[in-house]
Amino acid sequence: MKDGLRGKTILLVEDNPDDEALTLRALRKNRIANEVVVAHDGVEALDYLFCQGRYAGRDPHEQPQVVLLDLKLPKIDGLEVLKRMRAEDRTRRVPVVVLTSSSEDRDVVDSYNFGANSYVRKPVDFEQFMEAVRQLGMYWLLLNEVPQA
Amino acid sequence: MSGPRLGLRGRLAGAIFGASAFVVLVGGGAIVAYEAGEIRGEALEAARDRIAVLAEDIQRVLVAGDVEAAAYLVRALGRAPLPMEALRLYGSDGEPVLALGPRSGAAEALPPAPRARLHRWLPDGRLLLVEPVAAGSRRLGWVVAEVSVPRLRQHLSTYLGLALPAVALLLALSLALAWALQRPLSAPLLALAAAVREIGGSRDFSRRVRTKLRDEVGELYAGVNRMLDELEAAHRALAGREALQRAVLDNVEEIVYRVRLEAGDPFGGRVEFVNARVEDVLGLPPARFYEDPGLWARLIHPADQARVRETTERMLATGAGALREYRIRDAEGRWRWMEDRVAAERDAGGRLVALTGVARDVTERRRWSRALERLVGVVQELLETVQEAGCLYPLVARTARELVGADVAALSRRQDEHTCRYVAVEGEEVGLEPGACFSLEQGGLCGWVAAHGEPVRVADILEDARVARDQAAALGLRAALVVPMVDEGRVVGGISAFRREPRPFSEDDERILMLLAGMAAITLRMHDMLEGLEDRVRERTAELRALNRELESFAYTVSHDLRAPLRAIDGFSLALLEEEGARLAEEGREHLRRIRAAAQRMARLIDDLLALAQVTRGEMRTEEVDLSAVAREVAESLRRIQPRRPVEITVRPGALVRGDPRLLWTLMENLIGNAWKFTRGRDPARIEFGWEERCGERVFFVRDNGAGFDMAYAGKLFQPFQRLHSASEFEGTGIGLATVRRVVERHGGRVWAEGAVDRGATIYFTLGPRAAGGRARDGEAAA
Repeated sequence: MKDGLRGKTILLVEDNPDDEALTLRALRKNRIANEVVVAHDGVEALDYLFCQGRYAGRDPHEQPQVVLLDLKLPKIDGLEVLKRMRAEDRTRRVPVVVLTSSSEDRDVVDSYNFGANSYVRKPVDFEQFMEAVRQLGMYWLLLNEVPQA
Repeated sequence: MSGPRLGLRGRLAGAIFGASAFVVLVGGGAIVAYEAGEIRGEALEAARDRIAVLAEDIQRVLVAGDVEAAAYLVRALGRAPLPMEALRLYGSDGEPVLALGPRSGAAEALPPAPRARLHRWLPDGRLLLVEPVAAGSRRLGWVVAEVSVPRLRQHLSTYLGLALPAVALLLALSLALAWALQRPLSAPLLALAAAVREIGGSRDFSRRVRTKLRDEVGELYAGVNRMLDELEAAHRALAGREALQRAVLDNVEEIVYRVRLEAGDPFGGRVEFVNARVEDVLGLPPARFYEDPGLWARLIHPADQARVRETTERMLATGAGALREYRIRDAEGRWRWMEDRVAAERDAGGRLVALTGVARDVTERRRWSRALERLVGVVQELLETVQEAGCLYPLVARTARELVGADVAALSRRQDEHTCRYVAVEGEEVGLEPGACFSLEQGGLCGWVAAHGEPVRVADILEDARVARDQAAALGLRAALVVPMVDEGRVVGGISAFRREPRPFSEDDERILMLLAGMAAITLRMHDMLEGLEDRVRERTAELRALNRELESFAYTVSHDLRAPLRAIDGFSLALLEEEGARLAEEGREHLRRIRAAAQRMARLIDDLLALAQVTRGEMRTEEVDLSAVAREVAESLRRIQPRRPVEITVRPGALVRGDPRLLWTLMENLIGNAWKFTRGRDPARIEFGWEERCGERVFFVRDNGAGFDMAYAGKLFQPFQRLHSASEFEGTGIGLATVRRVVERHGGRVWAEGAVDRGATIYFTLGPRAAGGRARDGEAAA
């Protein structure tokens, strides 16, 4: 199990440092040891995914195992990021879990319409959040085989 | 009056005369007969005396046997005052002895042998005598003598000679008397007869007969007068009825006719009567119909003939009267609609003998009723197009054109104090265009009507001083009818109708167009109002939409941004507890737990508030929802979360309503969730969902046997954040029932609660007329 969780990166797109810390803690507590890259806004996330700007030197074949995407982001919001990911061949098949505070129907519907693979509402109760992250990790990091681009 | 014309006078005189003549003749006859008898008796006595004397002489002679002497004697006797015409002498043995005298033939009438005395008067007035001849007691023979009695004849002829003139005189007298006597009797009767005859001839029943007589004739007079009274009364009544009948028949609006049928054929017959109205209606004098019995039937429109025939035959079959409606051609060739009520008349044997009909000209009425029908239809159309000026204006003009049979019709609206504008022109292509303006002062007829507010009818606009000749000639229109459109006392426009020929519009046309103008005026006002209203509604809607959008983004922000800090508070509290917990005192750990609980409660509060906002602002979707099924599912999910709680849930099946499924789910979730929450600690807890019918309305309820509430605070239950229980007793945000109320209100229903502390609570709700599944009647549900 430990081996399986290592190696592949997780891209966490989150502008709130509290949430970032808590998410990282939840991953750690669930013994998910993958490298976690954190992008703090939509632009940064897209730079990483498309190997541009700050991440221009990155190997474009190395795509993250899963993207944990907040919707409400500075500059470019989460849905836009998702849309652009799905428009690019390189990122089309990368699993995206929308991780957000919003429970608006519209957000859920839009997320799935733009090609999100999962939608997780961040609960206030951290124990529940931990449980959610654990289940996500099990599914997207262990069970799901991501087709290689 | 038949038979011999022997008048009363003649009969009376005849009777009197007959009676007196009878008396005269019988009296005279009797006197003559008596005289004759007397004379005869005397003659017989004298003859017997002579023969007796003679017989004595003869007896002596016979005894002496001297026949010669006897003959002498006899001859002598014959010359005596009683002359013997003949004389025979018979012996006692009956043998004739001697016959004397020239006329002995008389003896032939005697028996061959005389046996007894006798006398007989012969027709010629002579006397035949048989006398015995005796000598003492010895019978010697018989003498038969024929004696002529000249005095008798003499006497009689004298008598008659006197009597006849007397009788004749008497008769003449009696005749005169009879004539004189009958006069006083017959005169009053004859006068009466003459008077009656005269009254009969003159038909003057007001005259009376008069007499001074008080006898039976007087009574007869009185009787005649009484009869005349009655006759006069009857005659007067009859005359009155006749006058009434005449007056009615001459003055009724309807054509009244009577046809005597021949051979029972209801379509053939002789027109017995038709009143003068027929000439007013059809332009044909009654005489035409008397002369030509088939004329009426021929004038009926060919398309209506069969129907008339059928109606009539049905009437004859059922015996009822019939109402026949058909068109008939008048003298000018126009079709008039008739409403003909006809009744059959039968003789004692049930045979059809006559038809009496009352026919009314309903052409105008039909036209009005058609116009009204059209106008009623137009109301509907006007209301349908009231929002669309582009449809509304042409509709008014088109309807005007149809209603009055115009070639061109136009609708104009007032622009300002001085101008009007054509907004629609319908009909044949003329110079008139929608959008063209005209002034009230120089706008021809339309301007005049707009300025004066009165309708105008003109047979030929080329002749009208108000119209500019060259302009009118260019339009090619002649007859015109223009009516003003008046709304609230102000002329707001006009409707004009034109014809190409100078065939004038009628007064009815004007009235119909005025009606349309009235309706159009109101519709135009509605149109203007609606237009203003729509603008306002559009503005308000835009404002509301903007507000709604703002609210939405606010709620979004709240949900997203308020939760993040809470999550941090909770998350880091937990992190602290887990990582540094061992270093903290128990009190410190308790503080951290409280921090976490508070953060979580606030998160729930935010969620509930968002749900409430959602309920308030989301779009409503209406479909059929089975509330019972929803209740069951909600209960099942609760049971899954807390499987060990002893809860008995009763759900009455079949609560079908119409409403928004998502909102109704929220409703049941809150109600049953509440009941679940507040029955904690009951064993068993009971929760029931059902309904009852109240005043035709379906009232649903959710009942529990939980903590209940104080009715004094029932009003607070449905307000947000109002809680009747402390958080330590029952957790909650105080928003659940507020949400329930929003859901119910959005469905047009009501919600209320009943309960008591520790005795459970019942929340009642209705879902309004729309959602009641059509079971409650609208009126009652709304009341």
